[in-house]
Amino acid sequence: MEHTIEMINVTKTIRKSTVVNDVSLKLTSDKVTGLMGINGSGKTMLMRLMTGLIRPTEGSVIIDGKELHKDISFPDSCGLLLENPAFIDSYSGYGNLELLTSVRGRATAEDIRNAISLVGLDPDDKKKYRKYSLGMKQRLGIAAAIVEKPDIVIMDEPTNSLDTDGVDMLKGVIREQKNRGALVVLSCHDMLILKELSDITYKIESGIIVAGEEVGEAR
Amino acid sequence: MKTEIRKSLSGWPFWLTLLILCGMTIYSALFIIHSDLEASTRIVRKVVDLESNPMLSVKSLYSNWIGAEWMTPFSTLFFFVFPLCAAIPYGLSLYQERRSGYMGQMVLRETRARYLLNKYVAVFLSGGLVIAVPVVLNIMIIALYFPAHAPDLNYDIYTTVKAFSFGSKLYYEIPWLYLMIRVAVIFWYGGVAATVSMAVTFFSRNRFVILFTPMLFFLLLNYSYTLFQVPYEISPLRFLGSGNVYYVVTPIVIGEALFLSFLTIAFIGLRGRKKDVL
Repeated sequence: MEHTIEMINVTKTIRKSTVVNDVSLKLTSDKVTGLMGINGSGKTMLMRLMTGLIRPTEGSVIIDGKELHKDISFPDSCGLLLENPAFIDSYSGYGNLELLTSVRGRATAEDIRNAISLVGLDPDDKKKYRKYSLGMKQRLGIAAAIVEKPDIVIMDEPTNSLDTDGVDMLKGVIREQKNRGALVVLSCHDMLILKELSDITYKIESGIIVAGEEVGEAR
Repeated sequence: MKTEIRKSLSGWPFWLTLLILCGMTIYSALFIIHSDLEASTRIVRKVVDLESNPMLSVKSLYSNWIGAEWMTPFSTLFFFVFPLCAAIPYGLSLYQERRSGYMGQMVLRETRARYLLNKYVAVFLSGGLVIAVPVVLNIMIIALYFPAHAPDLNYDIYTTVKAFSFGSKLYYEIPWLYLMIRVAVIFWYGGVAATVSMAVTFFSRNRFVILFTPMLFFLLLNYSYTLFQVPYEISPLRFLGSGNVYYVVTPIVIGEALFLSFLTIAFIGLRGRKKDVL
């Protein structure tokens, strides 16, 4: 089944400041979508709008034919990594994912172990999250976004704190998500990496989509 | 919900606050016992002649637990700082999870309403427990020394429970039940104080404001007697312990707890369901 996110004339204003301005987009699961732009351009806000974490001031966001905040509050199956991953300090990586996935019960212990291994961490590592390095935290954040095999995977700056091995790992993870039919949206301010990871990219400036191109066309 | 409760009771702020408050209530109990031992010694040594004084009542658990004694500084301090102490264990958790982005992870998995409900219950329980457990400990220590002798209405000058005041009938007829109700009320107000800090999360981004608002709120209530002009005690800082200046009546004790609970639930429910997760 193909998954879609459709944004129709979406505008978001926070304290009189327009952070997303009249954005219309249609994203599908056959292409990995990359959002690029400088810091503060509105990438993160756009992603939060897609996940339902914030409400558009105007316009609508439609996920697989259902309108957010009208038909559904949040996408039914969505994995999310937003900027800095957040977990409970006193739990291990495995413990944290176990806690998160216990809410819906959509992932088995095996799924958790696989997701942790896939991002290059040790599922048997008892080290507490607070003792993780920045790179390890980021890897765990990526694992949390994919552990439940969600239909939609949204990752904001997933390359943050990752070394070159980490970026290679991320490419593999994204390829796998695309292959199993998930709709993947990424953001990154490094254009080269983003183009490597995405099939289609959109450039955002001051909350406005100023350009969109198929990566093949650019190459 | 189980997860939230586990998180709320396993953090160091809960255990540290519990430890400090237990220190206060243990001190109160030991002070009272020590004072009584000294007084008894004076009577035995005939330093003072109180044996023949018919106006002395039997000393009892029910007039010496921390909610009934007013002699030690820690009993006063305990009921003065309880709103702050109730907020410390988990009152900041919503603020922290909103800031870190963990709330986003959770609401995507369990919806906003369920997340807030679970959080409310966990905050309420942690606040209630951190205040009520030290009180129970105090009662247990006092009970090791003082007999659980039923209070005598003829000697009500020795108690803080006056006729027709909150639970007075129970106090003189089934005092153990009265004691349990008092502890339950203390638990309730502890929970309410903690949830006030949770509610403040929606309009403040300062952790100190969030943490101290319950205490400021109860202090305001404490000094707003002239505003309301009611001839009854309206301040939980006073009526939860034994520092009441005015009559403590059931409708105010229960009504105020109900009203504050309703207010926090309504506020968190309305604001929390609409507020963006930034």
